[in-house]
Amino acid sequence: MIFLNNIYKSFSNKPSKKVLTNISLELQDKKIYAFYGSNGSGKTTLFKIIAGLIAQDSGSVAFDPVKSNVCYVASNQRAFINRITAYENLDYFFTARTGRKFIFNKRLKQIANILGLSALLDRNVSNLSTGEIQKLSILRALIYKPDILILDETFVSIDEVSIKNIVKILQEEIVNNSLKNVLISSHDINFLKQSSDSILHMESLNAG
Amino acid sequence: MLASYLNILRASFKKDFLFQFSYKLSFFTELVFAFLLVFFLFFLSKSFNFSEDSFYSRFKGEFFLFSITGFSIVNLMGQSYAAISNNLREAQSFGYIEELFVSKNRFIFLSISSVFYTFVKSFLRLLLIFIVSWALSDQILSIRDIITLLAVCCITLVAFIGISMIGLSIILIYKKGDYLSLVFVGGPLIISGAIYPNDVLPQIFIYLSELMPLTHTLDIVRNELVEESNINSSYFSALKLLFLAIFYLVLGYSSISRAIDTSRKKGTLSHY
Repeated sequence: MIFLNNIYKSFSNKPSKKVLTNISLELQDKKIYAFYGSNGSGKTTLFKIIAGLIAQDSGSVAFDPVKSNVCYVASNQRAFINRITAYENLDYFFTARTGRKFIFNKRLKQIANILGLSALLDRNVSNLSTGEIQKLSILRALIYKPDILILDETFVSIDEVSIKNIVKILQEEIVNNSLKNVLISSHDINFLKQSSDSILHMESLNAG
Repeated sequence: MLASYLNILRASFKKDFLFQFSYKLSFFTELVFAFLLVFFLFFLSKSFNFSEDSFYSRFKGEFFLFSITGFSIVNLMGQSYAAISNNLREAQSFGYIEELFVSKNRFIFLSISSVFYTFVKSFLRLLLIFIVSWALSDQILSIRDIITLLAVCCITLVAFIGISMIGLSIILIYKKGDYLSLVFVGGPLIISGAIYPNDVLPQIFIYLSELMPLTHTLDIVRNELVEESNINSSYFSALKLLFLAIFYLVLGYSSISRAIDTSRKKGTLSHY
């Protein structure tokens, strides 16, 4: 369970604007939560606090991001090492993050296949399209076997069929594997309605 | 725990090898440039009679071996130092730094593990340069010399890992290039006796050079490999080098640890 209590966050370059004001949240296990809000409403900041990448000014996060194995996937389209293949990237990031040797097991092969990535794994990442890179980011996140997976506008360049497949994979991972929560943000409210168990509006959360 | 860190080291080595090997020509061009320098210094040394100069007399008048040890070791440490800061800047500019951030200690280890491949590659090149240079001087590099060289370079590397952690802190906090390499890699060219003995320097520079790990590294290497061996002199230099390695490592760790906390607070870990 993710439990946030009275989270405040402001940045020094924005003295007049607090990004997060008194956010309290209780997210149940085994659910997909969607976060909806306008630009600058604090979705990314909140996600990064949950992932332990940003420290809140005050308030408490009642879980340890390291022990809880939180994985944050941004919409960044270049977050790989160029000049080496997609598979070599997965190998490196898996070991760098977990300290274990990378084994591309049956389940991962199956996911790669569903995402249409199997044939692309031996290609240099600089030769992949933006959508393919984003799908690879999701595959990379899943190989870590996270407890909490955060997808911050990760679907921007992914086609509709692939998005449906990804949501299906996430639901299966929640039911069959260790994945406890998926947090998604997007500006597409219809997509959020279809893919999540609950939608949280940042503006309402920020109102305290 | 140890197995986990060894796996990370292996993964970093493999990634850096694959990445650098993709620039197929660069390894050979670096080697060509290194040997151009070897021959330049060799023929330059032939044009002077350094043996009568008192500053070089304790090096048996061997300006060639004196300068090649200076240039090569400064280059080895410069490349190792740059590997660490380049790795962080790449992770920031490509945007995968957050992907690698699991915990503070893991992140620090991962950042410095990027030195492993560059050090091994650069040390092998240095060894090749030394073997050729010693052969040109009608001398032979013994196995004992090579082991001494490796041990001294490894201790120096520890000091440079510490210094590079201070450099990483500067990158993380100020989001600017790291100027420490100018002091700790560029500085030794002037005050650590890389190209000329630092006996020629004013006293103030000699005091300052004591803070540079490379001053002591060059002292030990030349004392053991070029001069008639003087065990006492090497012993004291080794102690000073060891002390500096521990000092910079502790300073570096505490500095990067604070820098990570600060950039998490400011939310600027991935900014560059």
